[in-house]
Amino acid sequence: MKRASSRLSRSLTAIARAPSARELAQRVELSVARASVASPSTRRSSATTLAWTRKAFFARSWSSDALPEHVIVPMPALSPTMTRGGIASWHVEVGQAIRAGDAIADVETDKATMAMEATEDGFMAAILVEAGAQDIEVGTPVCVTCENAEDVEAFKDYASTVAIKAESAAPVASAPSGPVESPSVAPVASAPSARATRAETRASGDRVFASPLAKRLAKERGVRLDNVRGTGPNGRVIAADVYEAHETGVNATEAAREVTVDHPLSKFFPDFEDVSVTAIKRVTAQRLTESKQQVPHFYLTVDVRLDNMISIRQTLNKQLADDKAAEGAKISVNDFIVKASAKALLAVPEVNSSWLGDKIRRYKKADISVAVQTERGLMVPIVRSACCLGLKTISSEVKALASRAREGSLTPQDMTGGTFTISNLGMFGVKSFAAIVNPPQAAILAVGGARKEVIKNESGGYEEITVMSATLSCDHRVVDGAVGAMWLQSFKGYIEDPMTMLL
Amino acid sequence: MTIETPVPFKGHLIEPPSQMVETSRGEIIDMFTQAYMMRRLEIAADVLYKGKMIRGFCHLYDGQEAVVVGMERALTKEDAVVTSYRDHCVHLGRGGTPLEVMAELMGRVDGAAKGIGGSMHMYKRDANFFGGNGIVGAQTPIGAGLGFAFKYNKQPNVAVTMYGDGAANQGQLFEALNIAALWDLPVIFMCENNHYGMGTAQERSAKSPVYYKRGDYVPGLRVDGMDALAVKQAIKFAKEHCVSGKGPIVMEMDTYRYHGHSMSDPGSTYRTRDEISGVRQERDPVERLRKLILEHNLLDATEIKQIEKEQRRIVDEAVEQAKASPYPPSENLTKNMNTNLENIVVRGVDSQTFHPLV
Repeated sequence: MKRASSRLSRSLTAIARAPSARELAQRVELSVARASVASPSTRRSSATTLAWTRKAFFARSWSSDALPEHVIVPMPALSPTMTRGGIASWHVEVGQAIRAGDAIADVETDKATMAMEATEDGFMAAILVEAGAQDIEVGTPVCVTCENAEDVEAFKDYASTVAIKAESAAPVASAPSGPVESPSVAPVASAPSARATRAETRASGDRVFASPLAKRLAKERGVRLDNVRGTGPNGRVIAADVYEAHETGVNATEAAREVTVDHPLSKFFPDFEDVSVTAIKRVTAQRLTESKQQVPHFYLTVDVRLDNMISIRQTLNKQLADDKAAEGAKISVNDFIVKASAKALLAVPEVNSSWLGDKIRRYKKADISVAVQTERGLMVPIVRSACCLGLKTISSEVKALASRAREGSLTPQDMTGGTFTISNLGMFGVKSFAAIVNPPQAAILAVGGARKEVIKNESGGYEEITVMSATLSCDHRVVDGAVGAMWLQSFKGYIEDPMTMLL
Repeated sequence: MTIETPVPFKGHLIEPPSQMVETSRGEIIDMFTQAYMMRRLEIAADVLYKGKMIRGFCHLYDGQEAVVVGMERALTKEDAVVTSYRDHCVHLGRGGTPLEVMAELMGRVDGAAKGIGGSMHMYKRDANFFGGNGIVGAQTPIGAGLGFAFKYNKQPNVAVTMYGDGAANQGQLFEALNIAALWDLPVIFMCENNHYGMGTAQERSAKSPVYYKRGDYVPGLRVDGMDALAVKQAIKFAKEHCVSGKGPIVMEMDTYRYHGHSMSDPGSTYRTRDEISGVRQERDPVERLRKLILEHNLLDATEIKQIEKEQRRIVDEAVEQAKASPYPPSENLTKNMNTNLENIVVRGVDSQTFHPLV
């Protein structure tokens, strides 16, 4: 009993010895009030005096913003080897209550995505890092929690103050001119030279020793491992080296870019905005340049009468509209084109081939790649075995692929392969155009828009018809002119008289 | 004052004690203070581990505080305690300071084992706390040995050896039980059943998850391990049993840990977060003590807040002091070792040959 009471009294007196901030402020207030009463000559308004002392006191005891008690939550190391991570998503919003043990965010570690748990009850006061942010170093503040719901208001501008502090630090670091740059330029200049000498000692054919994590990071960031100085055991390149190389490399290219902005020629061009090159654009650029440079193209154009096809299409669509099981499927002109091309490829298999250098591979089935324009760039998903599918199936396939392309959820399997491509710009009013062959395919069909024309018919009169222009670009290594022409003839036949597709 | 514990004890080969626990206002408040401090300490350890200030293994005890807090009320510092690697709070219960625990976790010289042990090897000889053992179940024969020492020296003390539900399947435990029962050693075999052996639920790891009956011929008692008063009552009862020469006793503490097995284990892959938060809401030991204090008007809400603030401050101070504490000097590496290898001779392949060691 004695032991218990002494411990209790010790803790209570300990509390008494350390008054809370509010108590201290009250004591200050009292003393100021007493002072103001005692010396009326030096009296300022007691309210302002109190306000000044309270603010000054709080300024001393807490941060200058006088924020209520809060905990700044740093980025946790959720695996022993983690040095940086990303926030995949937040599970809590500002102002929401948190209980101890709740998962407040998903953190991408170097190994897996794991949940970050709250350590105690409270409320989310401020979120400092957006969902999707990457490369946050362990220990960087990511959010702020506080104890009471009322305190959340006080943190409304917290994120912006932290951001402002960060921003004010950043431009100083990356400004191309100014005194700050010179000391940072000097070490950058010396580091590359040290790295260069180090790289020299490594013969160009030598294997670069790097940890698996470093290799992955280098691949992600496009850092060439030959140029990175290894500081790991036995001169191994470790993740820290790749980060460093990437950062200095980024700074170097930033400096280089700033230099081009200052280049005299830029004066002759209007104001600009630089758009970064995405993976899709990069791949498209590379492959099409290769194709245009290395594939011997030639182009064959034909005009195709669409009247029969249009009427058959209408009939079929009416059927589908009545048919409940079809679920509103509608066959489009493009579906006819896909089917006709596929059948034409079976009829003229020389076009359904690939140039493989020492041989030409002739495919037994036709997989048609359909070009879809999305906001991310040009994507070409594939309708497999289009030759064997009915119009309805082709229609639903193409619709599904197109919507997945626009969402961005196409898998590499959807886009790899294909023996022939169709590109349709008719919806934009283009009359005709010539597309670029997609190697290893042998040809690509470019279809323009339907237009009405007046022609002279057999009986000497005039009639109005609907035509569209189709241009076949061929790879002359695989397809000769006559072969291409035969294909076009076959295609034209199938479109002008769709009944022949039944054969 | 007398308080009735809600959950009845279950006995095996023994009459369980009464549910009416003799206690006092001061005791309950002390238990709450201690349990709250342990909770804050474990949370601080979690944060430090995630901030990479604590490395290596770190097995946290939050959720299980009632076991230690209740146990220490019924024991003295002459009784011996030995436990597994989940030992931070046991060290505190045996009289260790938060600074010792924190510094040891961070590997600093002010730690319980002078920074060379880390999370799993806290030790306090003067309080008869024999660690902090990393090998699963290895502490059970040691506990039997400690009981043997008490019997040999005719001391009226008991040895408490704590192990988990995962270790309850270890063979050495049954060896220890056998010898303790055979020689009537004053040992309490306390199984802290937090229902998960690392990631394996008790139903999947044990054919008979009734751990208090596993002693077979050794009497056993099942206790609600989230209720500090029940634990106190049970240990008091068990100590009387052992010290009066009736031999060992097995206890099963029905408890729960909120964190994963260790800091490498998120703790949510083998159980749902709902389960964890359910236990937190319904059976939390610290909350239970707080409710008890408020129910019986021992303190009002502001005073409780004061205690909490004070304990928080103590833990924060301990963390700061531990961070400021230096690492052990390099001399400590070989301080308690025989580094004089010169005149040591090693026997060779037969009785006639000898080699020097170096």
